[in-house]
Amino acid sequence: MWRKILVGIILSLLFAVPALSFSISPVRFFITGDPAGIETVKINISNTEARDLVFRPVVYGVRQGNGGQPVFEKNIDVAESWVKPEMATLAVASGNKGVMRFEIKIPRGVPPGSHYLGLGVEPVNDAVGNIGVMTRALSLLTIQVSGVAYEVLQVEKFEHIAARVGEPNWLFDLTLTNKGNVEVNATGDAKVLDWRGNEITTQPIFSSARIISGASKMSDFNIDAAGRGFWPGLYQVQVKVGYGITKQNVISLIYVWYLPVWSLVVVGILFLIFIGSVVFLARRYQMKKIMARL
Amino acid sequence: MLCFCKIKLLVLVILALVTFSLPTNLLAAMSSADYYIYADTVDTGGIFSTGGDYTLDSSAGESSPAGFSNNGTYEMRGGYQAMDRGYINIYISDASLSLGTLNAAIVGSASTVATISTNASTGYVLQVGSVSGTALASVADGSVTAGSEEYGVSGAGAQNSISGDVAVAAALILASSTVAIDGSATTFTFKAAMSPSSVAGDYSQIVTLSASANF
Repeated sequence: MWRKILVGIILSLLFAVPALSFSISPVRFFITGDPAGIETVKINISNTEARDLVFRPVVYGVRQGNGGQPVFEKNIDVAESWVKPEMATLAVASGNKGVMRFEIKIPRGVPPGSHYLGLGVEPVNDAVGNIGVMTRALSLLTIQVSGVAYEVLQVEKFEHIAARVGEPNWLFDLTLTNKGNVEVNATGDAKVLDWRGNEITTQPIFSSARIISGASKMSDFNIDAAGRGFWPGLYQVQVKVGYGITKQNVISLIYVWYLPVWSLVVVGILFLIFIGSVVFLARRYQMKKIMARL
Repeated sequence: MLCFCKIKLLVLVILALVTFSLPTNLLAAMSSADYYIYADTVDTGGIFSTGGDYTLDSSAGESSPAGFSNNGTYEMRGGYQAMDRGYINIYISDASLSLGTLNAAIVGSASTVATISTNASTGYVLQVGSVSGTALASVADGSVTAGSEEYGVSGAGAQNSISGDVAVAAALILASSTVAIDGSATTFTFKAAMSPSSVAGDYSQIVTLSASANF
């Protein structure tokens, strides 16, 4: 055993490459193209490292993570195959700039809608035989294939997460899904109404959140019922999300019972008083009957 | 009264003035003290189309992007190729990390600082783009502990997105910002530990950090 421990394990992450620094511009592209059309985009690279670097182009598909951020992966968007870098590598001297061009050919017959890609560059690993921490910078590319665009945002889930009905802090789980073929900007508000439908309060949930086609946005939010001085009872919580250039709204409503501990105590005391009164009156009635017989 | 030769001379002068006052390169970036046109365009045609409630005045033969602008309510994407002219810079202080020779009594560690600068209004996200090579078993309990075979990474910094020690895996969000930021530095510490039953050998990885603007 001790020999194994002494031999140990060497885990190393690169031995040769020092610091790395570079920039790309722009950070976002939007292209609207026809099927069978060809576009060319260029990414400007600035080598801000103290040595010359060789860059290679990279193309990734993009999905939207739970937090709304872009996540780059291979083979998740058919449009990855539409992009062809014009060169395999590009050498950029220290302190200099270079341009990496990508040709985008939209195939014939592609249906209208948006596709999301990450185009960028990464320095070629010049540490032969070693491994380490590499870097990559990506520009977000939205390809809008021309045709009829439709904006559809749906509420997939809207639930009240509560351990008990008297929870003073109401937690909600909201999931929205973009069922349209283009990205939308969405702004959401939560409205609390009493059992008769009268508005009590409104609070923002999120503002100008971008949701790409096919993506889901998960948004948990809370309403501080105790802090806002809500009385015990039945409430309606309405979520209203406005979205898109077409200025549509999607609305979802759920009911929430709010019975805090103090209200249950009060109800309990009132119940005991009621029972006590009934018992007292019953006994008094019995006593009166007995007295009447005597 | 002007004679014919004077009129001819005047016309020539006017033509010369008009000719030399035109920009010599219509597709170049233009600027002055008060403005900067990053990309302009010259197109050669286009048609006016209608379809129910919508109309489209298209252009053709465009040879350069034209950018986009908005005022909160409307967004104009000039031409058919628009861009957000911002930049993103990524700097890694040390791309060469060595965790040394491990034994069951220690946790090997090494750090690098990733610094991101961007003027993108939506901020940035830094994530693990890809991982390759060999490694010890990934940490699963939030902490790399001596005596247990575990390998992971932790982060420190204002924009750090990692909590505790986590497994090094593709798509792991390391740091992010929702606003433009200059010099956002996050320190990442790679850690490894072995158990007495760990298989002895050399382990190595390539971890690619990927930086981009947010949507």
